[in-house]
Amino acid sequence: MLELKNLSKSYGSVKAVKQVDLTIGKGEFFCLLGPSGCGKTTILRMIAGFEKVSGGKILLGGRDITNDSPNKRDVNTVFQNYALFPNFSVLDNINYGLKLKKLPKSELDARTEEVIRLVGLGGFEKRMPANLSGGQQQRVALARALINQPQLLLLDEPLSALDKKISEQTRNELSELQKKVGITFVFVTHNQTEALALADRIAVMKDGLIEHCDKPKEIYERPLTHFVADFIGSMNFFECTVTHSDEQISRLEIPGMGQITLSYNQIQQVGAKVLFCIRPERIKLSLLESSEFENCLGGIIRQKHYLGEITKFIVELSDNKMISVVCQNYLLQLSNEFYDIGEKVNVIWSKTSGELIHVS
Amino acid sequence: MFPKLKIHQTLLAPPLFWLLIFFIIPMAIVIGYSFGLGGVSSGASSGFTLQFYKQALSGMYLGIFLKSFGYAVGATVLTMAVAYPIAYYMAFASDRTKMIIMFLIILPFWTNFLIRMYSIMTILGDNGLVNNVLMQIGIIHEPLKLINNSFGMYVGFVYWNLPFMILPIFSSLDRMDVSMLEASLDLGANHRQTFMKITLPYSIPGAVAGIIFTFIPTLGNFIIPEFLGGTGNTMIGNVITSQYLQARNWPFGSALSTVLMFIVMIFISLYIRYFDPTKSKNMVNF
Ligand SMILES: Nc1ncnc2c1ncn2[C@@H]1O[C@H](COP(=O)(O)OP(=O)(O)OP(=O)(O)O)[C@@H](O)[C@H]1O
Ligand SMILES: [Mg+2]
Repeated sequence: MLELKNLSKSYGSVKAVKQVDLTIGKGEFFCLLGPSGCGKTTILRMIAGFEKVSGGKILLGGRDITNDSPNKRDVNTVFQNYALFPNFSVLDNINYGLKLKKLPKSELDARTEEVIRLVGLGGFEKRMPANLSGGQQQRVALARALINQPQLLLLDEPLSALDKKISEQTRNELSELQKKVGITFVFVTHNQTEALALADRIAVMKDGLIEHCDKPKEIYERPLTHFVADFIGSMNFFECTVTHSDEQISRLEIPGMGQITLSYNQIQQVGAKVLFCIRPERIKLSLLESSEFENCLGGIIRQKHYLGEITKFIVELSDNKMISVVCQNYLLQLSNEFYDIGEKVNVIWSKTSGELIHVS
Repeated sequence: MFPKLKIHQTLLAPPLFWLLIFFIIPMAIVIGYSFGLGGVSSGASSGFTLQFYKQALSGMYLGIFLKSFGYAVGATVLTMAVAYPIAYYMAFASDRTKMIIMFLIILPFWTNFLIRMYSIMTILGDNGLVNNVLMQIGIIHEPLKLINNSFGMYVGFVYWNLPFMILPIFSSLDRMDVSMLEASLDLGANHRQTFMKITLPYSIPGAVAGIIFTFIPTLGNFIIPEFLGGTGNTMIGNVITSQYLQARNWPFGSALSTVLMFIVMIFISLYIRYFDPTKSKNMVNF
């Protein structure tokens, strides 16, 4: 559907986007996720046609649109600041695109009505944008873009200006809406929760490059790079050396702490330096020391943060290594386990938990 | 509420006093003269009379009013035609370019007005720069009449009014968010449609302010016709000046002034009625 081939963009000496290759399928809800300044908006603006590319190609439905002007592309944009026309009413904002196409009045009215119903703006047609709430303005921006039934809809952080509750509600509506209309969405955000919740696939970007592009579950559970592992959720990292590896398991030596075991289906080179990473929620605390645990390291609780649903512990292992461990509070209460700061504990996890990242 | 109001009144006192002394009282005096009051002798009569107004609206002077009106309209249209592209270019230029153009616009204000008038005369005169160059390269063989006619006057008006037209248009275009133009293109409008539907309406409050700033001073202007208009181009401002300074007919001059003031007031009222600059709806968020 949409193909970016070797796409790059420089502003003077600043390389905002560096040779990005990406293919997005028809009807996909695709997220570009990354920290501020990584080039997400720049990619979006090149797809929309507001920014000239410095190199590479953009293909939409197999057609090269790299040098088409924005009004010739079958692409519409929901701007981060909405960019509504302040001197037009909601209705005139929404059917701006259709009026330009000189459709017969009956069709124009029918499509306008349909899209107004779709985004739930019935009754607001006569209002001016300045007299709408942020959430309502966002809907107008969405309706104004959707009414053209583009092949591709670009959304630049459409939820970031809304407060948390409204943003979550709008997020759910957006997801349903996308399924209903079946238009391909490219959604830019720096909010990983948004990306994980909405996207069919996510591309995680850093410094103008795509680090990892995959389904949310894969990105979360099997991050390809240190950056991705660190950026999405929170993660504990251990530098270690491979001491044994076959098709089922790998054994790793963490210097100064001991051996750990990991079910891993790729054979590692013995002696290789790798990064073992494990999510805080995959680790449990235990007072018992037992060789029955698949992986077990000793430590002392240094911090304890009660966060309602969960409690987050910071545990110091040997070598001053700090890791974080997250426990569900209801589980702690069920099993009557209460850990306190200063207590000696064991951190344990199963060999199916955790992931390896190769360090070059 | 009460103490706050008092503070406001105290703060308002000096400007009100100023307005009273230098604006309201002189205006009252002028209006008084125009009705033959105030003991200024005009030779004809003293005591309340409407004769000066009759005279002011009689054939010849009405003609001059209409002519002045025509000049003011023409000058405003020409100024707009020159100013709009400059303001537009400026609004979408880089910050550096904006600064440079702004500087160039303000620069003439640092020079004495008479010097500027004489320099226009030197440039456009029979032996001026323009005629000399054109004759040198052989395009013309006799000097063109560029001043002492209505052409010269229009040049003067456009020159004089340009900053007052450019700046308000620029300031309304400059406030415009570029992403609005991008949105219009994105929704399928081409550049011309985007200009007509988005940019132009957005600049209207600025343009109207510019029109007011141009039209009204031009209507009463007497310096530019004097310097650049020659003998045939008398405007109402010139008549008023000569009634005061040469003919010494102050009551008649006052009646002409009052009529002019009345016309100006009509335009300002219309402006406030339709483009109230104090209402944020039109100026700030438009
Ligand atoms: N017009 C421009 N001129 C110069 N540099 C620019 C311009 N636009 C963007 N950049 C630079 O390009 C890089 C990428 O910017 P971009 O706006 O794409 O980031 P982003 O990922 O959208 O960030 P954010 O999450 O803050 O919106 C940044 O380093 C930025 O400073
Ligand atoms: Mg951005």
